[in-house]
Amino acid sequence: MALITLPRVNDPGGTPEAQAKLQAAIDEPFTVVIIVYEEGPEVEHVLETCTGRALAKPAIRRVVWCPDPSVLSPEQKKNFWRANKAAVSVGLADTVADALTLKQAQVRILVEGAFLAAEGQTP
Amino acid sequence: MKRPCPRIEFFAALLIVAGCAQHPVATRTSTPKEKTTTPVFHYEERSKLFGTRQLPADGYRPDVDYRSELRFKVDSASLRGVIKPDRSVIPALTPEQEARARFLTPLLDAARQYVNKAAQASLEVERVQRGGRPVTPGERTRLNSLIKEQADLGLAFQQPLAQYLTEQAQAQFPNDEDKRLEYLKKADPIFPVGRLIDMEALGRFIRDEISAAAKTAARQKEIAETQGAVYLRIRATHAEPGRPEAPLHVQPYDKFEEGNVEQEPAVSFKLTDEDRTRLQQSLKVASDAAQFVRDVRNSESGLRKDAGAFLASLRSDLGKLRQAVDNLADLDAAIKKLANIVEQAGDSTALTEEQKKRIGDFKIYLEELKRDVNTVREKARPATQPAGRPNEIDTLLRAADDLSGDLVQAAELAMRHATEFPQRLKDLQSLLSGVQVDDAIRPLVETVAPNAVADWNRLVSKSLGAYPALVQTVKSLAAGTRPAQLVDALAGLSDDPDVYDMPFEDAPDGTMSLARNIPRGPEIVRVETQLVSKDTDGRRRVLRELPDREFAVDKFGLVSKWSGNLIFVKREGEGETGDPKINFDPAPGLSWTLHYVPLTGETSSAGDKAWKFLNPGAGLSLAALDFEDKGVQLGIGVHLTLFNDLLQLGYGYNLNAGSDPQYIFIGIGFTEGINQLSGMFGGNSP
Repeated sequence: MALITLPRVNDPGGTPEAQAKLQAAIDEPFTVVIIVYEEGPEVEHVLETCTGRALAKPAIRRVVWCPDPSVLSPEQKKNFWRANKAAVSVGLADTVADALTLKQAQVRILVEGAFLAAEGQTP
Repeated sequence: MKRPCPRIEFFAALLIVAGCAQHPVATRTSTPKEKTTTPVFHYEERSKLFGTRQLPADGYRPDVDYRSELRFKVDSASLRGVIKPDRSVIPALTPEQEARARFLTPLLDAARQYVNKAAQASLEVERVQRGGRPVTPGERTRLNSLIKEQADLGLAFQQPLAQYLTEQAQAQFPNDEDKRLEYLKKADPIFPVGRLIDMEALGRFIRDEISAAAKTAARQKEIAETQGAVYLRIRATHAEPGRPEAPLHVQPYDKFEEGNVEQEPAVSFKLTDEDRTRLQQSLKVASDAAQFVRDVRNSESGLRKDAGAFLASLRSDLGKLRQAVDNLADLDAAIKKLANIVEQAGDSTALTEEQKKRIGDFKIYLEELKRDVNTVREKARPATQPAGRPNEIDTLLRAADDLSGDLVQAAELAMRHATEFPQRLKDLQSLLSGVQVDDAIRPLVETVAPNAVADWNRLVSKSLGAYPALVQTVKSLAAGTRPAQLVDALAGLSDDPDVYDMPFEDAPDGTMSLARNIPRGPEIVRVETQLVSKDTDGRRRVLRELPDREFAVDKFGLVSKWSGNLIFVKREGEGETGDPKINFDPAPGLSWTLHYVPLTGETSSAGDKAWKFLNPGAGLSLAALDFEDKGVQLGIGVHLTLFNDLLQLGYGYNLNAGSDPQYIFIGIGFTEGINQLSGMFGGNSP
């Protein structure tokens, strides 16, 4: 499945389930992840762009949508969230490989670059 | 009679205000032309009211007062930079452009290698994931290396391509990051949804880039060859929104006569003939609108019944729209075939180099046509209809989406090619008429035989020519009763006999008098500039078109305005026994409002910009009331307005009422509202 949606804070079981789902996606071997934050019409375009690129390598690429970043644990926020960025790619070494602004994350060639940077990490 | 809640009208007014505040009035778009980063012309505005003011070198349509004079100075050094006359001999491609070609071509190989390796890595990972068995450490290492290897190959392709596009974008939009990112979307077709790389799209991209470089090189070569005989041609026009452009005399660049108009004063109580006509129209509209509101309340009114027929008609036209897009698919396939035939003709030994070059030009045009046909298809493709009975609101919203800028732009492309393609075929036909036919060229000669050309023209006009009319039909439907006004096009600048050829080395400064040509605002002044060469017979060839400059000319400072409004009146008190209850009843009103309009530009303060956006005003108003069911009564009042008289709030006194004559009112500048809503649909101002 290319797109994994995390629950929001107010959803039943929201915070713990969201943190677990994100960690599972990051820990999955041989896969890289782009995490898309927040929600809104432009974020929908970002999701469309990122999912479109993830589907090019469905076995390797995943997109995690985190509409409510307040569900992240302090450690996850420190590791996988960047100020003023709408999307970050996390690679095989489980660290952020690239971070894109809301506008950048709607440009396919830049999203492709973010995925490739993540795939290029050595675990 | 029981009167419904006045909130319906109030919310309708708010909706219109909100819609208008967010949608600027439609204005003419300037033709996209080549960008230059060095300003060649320095404009300044001279007026008694605001003194001398430098205008931004490349800002978007700066404000200029209608009583002023516009002057430009020509920066000769920058102009020489645009022409590059120091290059005496230029090869077919400049070193820079050759480098571009050398750089782009290997990307195809890099992309192929990446795709192969990525496919292998994906398959192996998928196999492991499907197997569900534990992965051995050795296998894990091997797979991770494979993923890294394909990623490195991917980056070896993606990074140079991204860098190339970024550099191009930087050169074109040095100060606008959003536009630079938008430019990078040029590569979107290379990365389609669910596929690694569209090799065909990549090939097309590389070919287009190299071909653009070759075109530029050819033009620069021509410039170099004609150095010393380069002329500057400048023409200015002015037009009210939606009206035809009229020439504006540029001293000393043209032979047009200087105007001698009598300008309206910026502040005046006097009604001009123009005001009278406009107010008659807007009062009629306000009066109709008042009736409209009453009809909306009445479920038996004709309006309620006619709405169904209008929507049915709209749906039918959207059906035709889909059909037109299907025809474009046929055209696209036919163009591909034609391109192959033209390609084959290049191998002919019977053609001279010049003839081959002209056939090559035709091929480049076909590429452009193919691209534009696909653009039209993309932009014109209507959204998928939802299952079940179409919802009226959805239908209207979809129609509004289809009519937005994209579709109009697609229609412009379609119109251009519907005219240009037959002409190109005709040229090709004449080129081939005297040529000895060999095997390579035979298919092309047959393709441009008179009968075949007629078939081609039918196909093109059916696919492209039918389209603008359709757009126009839908546009008129959506715009209500006001079809777009046809604008007479001026002759092309290079052909205009009233424009002088100024030797560019000594190009003088130019002056345009707005005070003598523009009676009132708003108007758009547009300045076109070309560099041309002339052959021995005096025929001009355009070497370079510089970007158009546009100026928004209007009244600034203290400005008064008469306007017709639809007002909703609430009487203070009940009046006498038997008087109807007047609780936000619609009525036509007339108002005189004084505004302060600041000149704004890129360097304006946020306060000025906010003031201009809110555009507040204060003034006096008259209203046609009926407090006692005895016919028209005259009300007089004072009011405040916002958004250029779009929203009005006031207090008045009914001069003919027997009792309780005071009233408050909320008003909508109805014609302003319609103009701005019409802007949303691409219509013209009245």
